[in-house]
Amino acid sequence: MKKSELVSSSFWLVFSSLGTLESYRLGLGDFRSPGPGFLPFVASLVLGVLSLVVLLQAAYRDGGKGGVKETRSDRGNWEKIVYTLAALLLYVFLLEKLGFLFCTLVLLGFLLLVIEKQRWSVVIAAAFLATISSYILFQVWLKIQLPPGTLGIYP
Amino acid sequence: MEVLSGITYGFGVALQPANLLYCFFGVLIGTLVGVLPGLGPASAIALLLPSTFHIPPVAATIMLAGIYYGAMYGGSTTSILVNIPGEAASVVTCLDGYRMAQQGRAGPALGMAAFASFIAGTFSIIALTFLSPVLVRLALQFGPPEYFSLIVLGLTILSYLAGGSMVKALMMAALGIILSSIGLDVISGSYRFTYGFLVLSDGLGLIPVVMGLFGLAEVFSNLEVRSRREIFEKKIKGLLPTCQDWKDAWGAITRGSLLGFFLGILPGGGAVIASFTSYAIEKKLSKHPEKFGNGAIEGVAAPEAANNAAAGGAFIPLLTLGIPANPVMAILLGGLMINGLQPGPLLIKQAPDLFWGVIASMYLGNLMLLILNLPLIGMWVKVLRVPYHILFPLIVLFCLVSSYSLNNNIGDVTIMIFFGVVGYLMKKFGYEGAPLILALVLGPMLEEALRQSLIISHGSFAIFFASSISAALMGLALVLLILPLITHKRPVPERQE
Repeated sequence: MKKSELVSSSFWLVFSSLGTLESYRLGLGDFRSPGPGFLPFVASLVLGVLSLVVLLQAAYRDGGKGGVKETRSDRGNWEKIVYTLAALLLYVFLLEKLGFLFCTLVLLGFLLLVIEKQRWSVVIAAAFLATISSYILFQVWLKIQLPPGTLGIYP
Repeated sequence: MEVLSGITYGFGVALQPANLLYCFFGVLIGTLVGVLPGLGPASAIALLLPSTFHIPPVAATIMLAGIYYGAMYGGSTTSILVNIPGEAASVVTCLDGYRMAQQGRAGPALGMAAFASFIAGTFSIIALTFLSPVLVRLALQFGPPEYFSLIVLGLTILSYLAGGSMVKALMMAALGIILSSIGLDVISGSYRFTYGFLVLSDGLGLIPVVMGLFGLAEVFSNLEVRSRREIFEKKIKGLLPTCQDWKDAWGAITRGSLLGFFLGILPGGGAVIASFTSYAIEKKLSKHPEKFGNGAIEGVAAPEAANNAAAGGAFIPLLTLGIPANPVMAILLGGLMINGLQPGPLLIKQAPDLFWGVIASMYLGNLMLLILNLPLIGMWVKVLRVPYHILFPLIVLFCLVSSYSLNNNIGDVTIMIFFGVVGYLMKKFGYEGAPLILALVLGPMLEEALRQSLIISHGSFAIFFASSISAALMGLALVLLILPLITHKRPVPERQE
């Protein structure tokens, strides 16, 4: 828990330092006429000071409230998250190239088969049903323009 | 008279068949969202917002409002039958509700939850009807310093009442303000923190951020640790509470309604905090505190009354001041602004059909919810049996399509996924998402009010203490910031978001 506090507060400290620098570059103005960097500069300073408080609390105090207890089960399925995230990023990359129907079908199939370890029959039925119904709901009914893809296999 | 003619006009709007239908859809989806763990009202409204761009703003707002207060009803069903809260405001209902189910009293627990919700919901709408016009008059006296002080107070209250560390909650509020400054600065005309990314030039979209922080992050958390769902009773019998139940719960409902309503009005308050506080108060006031946690009906009635009253109360700052009290209201504000409406003291004059129509629809929605949640309880029990492995890809799909459909832009989808990862990590490290979202929405208003105030006062910060309203708001914010340092105590509820 102490380690997680140290890691997170250090991250915010670096983030706030960058925020302060970038806001300063935008121009602070003066109190009579604050510039575009004024509020983000103040907010970055506040974030920096508070992350320093969390950092010092974590460094000099044993235990404390507000942390996260990591249990064995917490660490169990992180691979699922990594795989899902990779699939989502690939989906974003290919969506406009290959189109909504193809990408969605493959994504849902992957999530059901690899992440949820469902039977093939369930995977095929659920992926097809969800893709077609979402297409009808969004594209046909709600008139949202979903990307057709360069293949242009559907209207 | 003004109120009576207003609400009569509102009923005329709400009773139009199309609006009635949208109200029904809203409360139906709301109940569904409440029943299903893993999808809260904030992410559901964010998901559905883009699809409402094609319908009139009054109908859209009626439906989205219905989702919010409908979720408060639905959440109790899952808490009582499965011991897993359907949404965050129903966490505390698990304590006594599930215990009652174990004792064979699931029916009266569900019945009391529905009746308490109905009574408190109706009370809060009546109060909303009569208080809103009064507050509109008060809001007209608000200038930039008062708005600045009110927003500072709102962010402070949310951080003060946040579960976990107040320092971390304040950090997230500061982060939200930094993120809110991304995009074009309207005063100087320069771009801030865009780094050449076109998708950031209009600022960071609220909807992709909410969907990421609350929708996708929840999916990631559930992938990591899957909670088991076992429905306690297959057949629910005897939904009507007994006379003794009513006698025990009446005081709790009254106090829960009052407390919930006032906590709902406060910017930074809200249904989650209201439910925890009312439970704690009832336990303290009870002659038999040992009954709490062992199936006390007051333990079901008080939080359910409080969270529904808070849901109604939360509309007051949005409709009268244009300031959202919680993340859900922030999304509604975003929706209204997309439709060209500016919530605030002038809304009652500029869009009376929306102002009074939404309020009147809430009376009808509450009635619909009572019917949906009592005779149709069996249907919701069936919904509870939908396995998560089917739900999870659908939630992911909705997050993807909804964020894309905002501007037909893949950049919004990337932002949503990015904040999904951020939200997941925030959960892991004990940081709350609500202060970030509220600050993200209020940031531009805060900045405009600050810069205008300083220009008016020629750079003097004393302007924030010059008027009595602003001084009182600022004073309260300072007290809330300093109090925990002196007392080392906060009413921190043990809760999960």
